[in-house]
Amino acid sequence: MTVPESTALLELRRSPLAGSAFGLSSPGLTMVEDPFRQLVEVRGERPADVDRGHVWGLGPGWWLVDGPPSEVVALEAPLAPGNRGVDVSGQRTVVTLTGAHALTVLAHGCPVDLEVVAVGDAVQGVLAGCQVVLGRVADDGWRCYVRASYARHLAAWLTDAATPYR
Amino acid sequence: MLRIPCPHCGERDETEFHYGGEAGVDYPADPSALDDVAWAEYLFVRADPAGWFTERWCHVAACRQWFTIDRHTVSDEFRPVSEGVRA
Repeated sequence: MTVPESTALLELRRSPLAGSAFGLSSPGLTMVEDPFRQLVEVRGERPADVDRGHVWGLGPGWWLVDGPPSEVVALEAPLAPGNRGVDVSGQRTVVTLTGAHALTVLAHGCPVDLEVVAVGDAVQGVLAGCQVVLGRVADDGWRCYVRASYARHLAAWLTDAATPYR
Repeated sequence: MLRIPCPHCGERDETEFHYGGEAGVDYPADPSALDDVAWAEYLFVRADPAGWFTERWCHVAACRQWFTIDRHTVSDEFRPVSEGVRA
């Protein structure tokens, strides 16, 4: 038996929202999946920032490092001595919401007060019944980390919730 | 729906939490020395006040931290654990 090249293996990957026709681009709201990010959960001190990525605080001493997709698992979460990291890339997918209505759409299904979340901070909570991490990258920009098995439900819900803003 | 003040995340809906029962119930130091009555007492018997009650909650949908808090079992108000009660 021959083992396929790693790039050939990568072509076999399917993102959780592949084929679901999810996505919206309108003047006030853009929603798109950002699949195959490298995600590492770190316990301990806050890890250093990542190039083209984000570091979110999930709880006391608990961090999510989000780095760009890579053909090989290359994200070395810059670990301080004593920190522990676990690769959780396959656990979640990312949906980005950008635009003036992004916060409104999220607020339709999330009881957490997102207005008070500062840019660069994240909150965990329940959005439309799914446990999610919501990271604020800008005043009108959010990254929503959702478990792969809940992604299709959330995508359908987001599409429905965004109906008034298309 | 209760609104529970998590010490890390602020006030959140009750559905984000898991209830842990009465706080401060120690595992017996020498469980094999207990008779059935004392063991059953440890397992099942809890205070059931109509008033302030110190209990454990876990914020499972967000920070996943256990914490101890006082709840009034009649009015469902919350307050920080009173002085002298062990977390």
